[in-house]
Amino acid sequence: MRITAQAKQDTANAIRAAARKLFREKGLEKTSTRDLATAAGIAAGTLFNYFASKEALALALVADALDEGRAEAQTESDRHPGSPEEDLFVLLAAAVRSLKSMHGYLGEVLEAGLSPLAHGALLPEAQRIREGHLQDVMAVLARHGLGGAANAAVMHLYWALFLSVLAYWSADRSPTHEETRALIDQTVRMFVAPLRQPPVPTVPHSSRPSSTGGRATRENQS
Amino acid sequence: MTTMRQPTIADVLAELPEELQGDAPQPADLAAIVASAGRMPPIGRFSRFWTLGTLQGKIAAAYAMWWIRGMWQGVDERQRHLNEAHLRNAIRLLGTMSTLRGAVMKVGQILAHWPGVTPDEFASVLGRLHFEAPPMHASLIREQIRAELGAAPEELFAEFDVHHPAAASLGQVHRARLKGSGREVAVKVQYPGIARTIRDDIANLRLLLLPLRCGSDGASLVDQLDDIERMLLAETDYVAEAANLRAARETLAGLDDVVVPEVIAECSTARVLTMEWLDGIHLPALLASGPTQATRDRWGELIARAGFRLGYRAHMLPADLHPGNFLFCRDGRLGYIDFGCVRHYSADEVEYMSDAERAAEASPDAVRTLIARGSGLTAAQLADPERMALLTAWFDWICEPTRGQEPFDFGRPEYFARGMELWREVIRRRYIRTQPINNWVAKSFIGLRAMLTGLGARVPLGAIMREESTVTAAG
Repeated sequence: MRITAQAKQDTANAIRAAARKLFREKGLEKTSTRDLATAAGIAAGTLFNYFASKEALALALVADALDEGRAEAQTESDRHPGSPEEDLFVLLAAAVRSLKSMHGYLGEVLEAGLSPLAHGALLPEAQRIREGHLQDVMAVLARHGLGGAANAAVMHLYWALFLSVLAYWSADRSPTHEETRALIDQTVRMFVAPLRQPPVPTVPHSSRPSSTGGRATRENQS
Repeated sequence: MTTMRQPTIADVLAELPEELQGDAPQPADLAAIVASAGRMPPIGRFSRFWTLGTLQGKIAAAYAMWWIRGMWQGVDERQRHLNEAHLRNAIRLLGTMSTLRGAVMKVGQILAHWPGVTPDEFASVLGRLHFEAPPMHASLIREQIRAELGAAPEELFAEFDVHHPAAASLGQVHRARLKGSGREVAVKVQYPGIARTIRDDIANLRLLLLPLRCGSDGASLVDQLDDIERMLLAETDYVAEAANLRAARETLAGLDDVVVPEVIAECSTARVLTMEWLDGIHLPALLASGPTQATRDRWGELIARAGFRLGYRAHMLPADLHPGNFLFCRDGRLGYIDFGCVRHYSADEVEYMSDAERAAEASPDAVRTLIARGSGLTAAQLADPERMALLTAWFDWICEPTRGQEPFDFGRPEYFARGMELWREVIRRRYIRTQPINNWVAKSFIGLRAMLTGLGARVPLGAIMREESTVTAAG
């Protein structure tokens, strides 16, 4: 029997709905793929036709939510344009807000699929999260004339900061998560401040005191 | 070490660790500082205001050092050297705590409000800073309100001025208009996580100061920190402040010329407080307008009467009186707008305060007995002439303006300066630690006298006190 695109979409939606409910109730670790399949009304193996693992499924939920957050942030920044710090704050605050229903298990998702300590390539869903968010950050920086500073190293550092904010939030027990807001505020100011500074000139190796007795280095050869 | 009596601002700043001293402000800079203090700093300059890099922060830290040193007068030379080293390290570390803004600014604010402690020009700068603390940017304000009230301010209010707040040390006030009624309101928004910040900062400060040995009683320093923490934390509880505002509004309803703003409950939470907007000016603007003596006297009387009425009828003690508490409204009413730090008298404390008033009017012996009770003095302490002379002088200073029925001229700076000297001495010698209410009463009484001194008002404080106490007793 041929499965229509619509039927596929319906099944994917049913899996997502089941996952949202079960992850919220039991957390990521204690939810099995069998639980998910049962709740979605599909055979256990069918789930893997849609998601490579429950971690990939959880990351897809996070990515979906963050996409909504990105859209909200865009609307808010368009309506109330501010400084780079303000625009980045809006972006991060909207991201956190969009994940509200995942507060109980986001920590597990971060650990399973977004840990900076993880070896190997990110899962495609994690890659989607990273690229989507960093693209927005670079757009903010470019809008404020700071795009030139957004090289790969800077964006890598930013990504670590963003993950730290999410990790902090996932464990934040303060009323209305106000401490996360303070952290976001401090994070974006800390991130933007050095970008405003002129770049520190790199000292060529040839002008450094050398222990090679003045032998040519790779840099001054090229 | 520099002089322990009435240090100038330059004296105390010179005692800061070198890297915190920076360029000492020159008189020529002061005009620029005064001018810039009236403007909100641009967002990009936020971070400068968050550490001890600020003038206000430096002054607070410098005075803290000066004050702490006063506590180890009696220790030997070796220990004093050790204490000096520890204290300098503590202040250095304090400067690296970027989250100390709440505590540092508040301390700076308290110090700034005591005329005579700082030269006039600096008092002027710091006086303006009471209302010019660093702002939260608009995005943060929106997010705070969204988290607390469930929607962005632009959706909740008919109008909300997110860009021109009046800043306070622990919060920020925005002008807005309610939907439906169109009523103008002031929305006070708290810095996120400020209560936790204060607790962390004070805990860090306690750890940093632990190695210090202050005279024979190191616990005094911890007690003082406890007091500061309690006062700061009280100001972060907007639910309690709303309750205080309602109680004060009801208590002062009989005074036609005094108004306490109404709380708008549906737009208030533990971290957002919305109240009726009052159209008025603060003390610096009032003084700049060159008020007549009669105007000063009238405002002074209203402030005093409101204070006594709150004490006698509602048993409320506003413990942190400063110019930011009051608005001089264009319609002639006194706006009493800040009830963030209020102590409520217990029944025993009401009795103690009544006894104090009676003692002041009775005899020196009665005063002596009251001091012994209030300060929990032992027989030996009671027999210590130096201690008794200082405590009696302090008590006399408090009572001096309330003795007669005639107006007392607070415009004479000599009176306030004398009181400050006595107070510093009392604190330095740790003479009033035993009855907790004493510290709050002292802060409140000093605050009232500072306010009246700042106004340069002539106020029949004794007559007002007796009228208010009689009306209460009769009621």
